[in-house]
Amino acid sequence: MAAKDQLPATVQKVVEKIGKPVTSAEIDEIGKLQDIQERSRHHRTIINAWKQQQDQDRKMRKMYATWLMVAMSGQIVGMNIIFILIGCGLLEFQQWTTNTFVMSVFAEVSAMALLVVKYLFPATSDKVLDLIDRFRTKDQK
Amino acid sequence: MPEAANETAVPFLHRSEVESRARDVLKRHNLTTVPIDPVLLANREGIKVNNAKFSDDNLVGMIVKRGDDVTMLVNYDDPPFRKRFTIAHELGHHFLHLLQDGEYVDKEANLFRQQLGDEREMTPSRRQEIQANMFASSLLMPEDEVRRYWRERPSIEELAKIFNVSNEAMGYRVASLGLE
Repeated sequence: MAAKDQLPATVQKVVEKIGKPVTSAEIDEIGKLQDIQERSRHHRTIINAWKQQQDQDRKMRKMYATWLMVAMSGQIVGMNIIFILIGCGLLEFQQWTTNTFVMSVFAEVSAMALLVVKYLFPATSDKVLDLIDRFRTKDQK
Repeated sequence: MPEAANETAVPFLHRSEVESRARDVLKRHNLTTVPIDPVLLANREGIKVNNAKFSDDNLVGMIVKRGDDVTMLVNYDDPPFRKRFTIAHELGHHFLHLLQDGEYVDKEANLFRQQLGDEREMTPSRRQEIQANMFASSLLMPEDEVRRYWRERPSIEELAKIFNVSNEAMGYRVASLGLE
């Protein structure tokens, strides 16, 4: 008798539409809540792992960046000292040696700066959000 | 609004009698662990339970019996706790009142508003609704189980979770059993 026209006329008046059968799962509020809590725990685990990974990554990058900066500063300071010593006549090199030295230090510093910018600060990634989105889609299926 | 098929001759049923009938139904269907699944019980009784859109938003559910064919409709928009209670309430009509063909159309006020007073002095239809409510409470929150869990953890919120009912429903139940 699940069709509307099979209901008595007195009742038909108040029924606009008969939908799907009610299932046990549909009325299990606590079950749904537990499901949500389980999914939330799942997402929290992913986010915590991602956060830990990010923290470790950041520490490592910071350490590399610090050492590269020290190396760059050393290079520049060293080059300036040598430059001053040459200017004062305390050191003497052939013209092409001095030019090559200055150019090579400049190239080294530029390469280190490129290294820092390109590999230590890559474009931000949404991988974790993609992952959560993938889980969400999977849950909905 | 057709409320009851047979409003005359509605016997007065004491709370303990309603409790006992609900207990018998659960025992007969071997539903001994909480939370009780009223949909499973209805289906085992051969009752089809469907969602429905009603023309009146105050309607929460109905049960229609024609011969062996029994259909229960619950408001599609109601939250799960309310649907559970509505189904249990309609099962109350099924087991207590629908001894022959008939139908019960229930409004929100029939189920979720407490009416105080002596049941003996009420109109037959109101008496039936109160009996169906008592049956629903006894079905979803069997007395023995409520008492047992209350001894272990006397918290309405905890018990509501265990029995899969709203805090309000558990609050009424605990109060009516004189536990709080």
